[in-house]
Amino acid sequence: MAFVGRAKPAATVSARVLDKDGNVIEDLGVIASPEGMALSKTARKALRAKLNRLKKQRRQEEHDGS
Amino acid sequence: MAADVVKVVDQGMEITTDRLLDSPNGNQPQWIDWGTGTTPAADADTVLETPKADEARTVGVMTQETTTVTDDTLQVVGTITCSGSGAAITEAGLFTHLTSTAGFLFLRATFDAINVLVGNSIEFTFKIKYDQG
Repeated sequence: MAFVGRAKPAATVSARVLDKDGNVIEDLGVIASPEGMALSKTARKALRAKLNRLKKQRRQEEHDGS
Repeated sequence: MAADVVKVVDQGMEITTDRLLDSPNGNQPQWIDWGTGTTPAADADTVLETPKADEARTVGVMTQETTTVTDDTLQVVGTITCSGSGAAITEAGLFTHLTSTAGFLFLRATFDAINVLVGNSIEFTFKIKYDQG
């Protein structure tokens, strides 16, 4: 009788861009994933902008309510 | 725009089982290369599509990390510095050797372009997590 074990690898790749002095210019986060679900740079910027708008809106609402 | 894909390729499976042997035949997949190819990573890949010839592969630091269960993840971290000419980097891979004439490809990734100028570097972090399938 043969026993067959299974081990499935799933890889991700993250990246940071550095300048000549080793300072981080941009942290890109996950740039490639098994499902192809890494967000594009444009999508990340759009999400960040939306999050900032929501935070600002919430702060304004808290300020108005106080 | 390159497809966002990362694959432990067929040769990567061979490297994995080989490295479990008491006396492995091949080396660790610790050498990082980058390139400008945009064809999505595929299981049968054995090389990068268009390696950037200006820079040599660099050795990464390999560690065991914990994602879900203890030490279930192999991590390789390494940096390549752009020295020849600026480029839009769209692929990266892990190899068993410094030179392209020897060794095997373990993993290939393709992704949106990362523009680098001479003097810029990219620090790549490769994580390969194993589970029971």
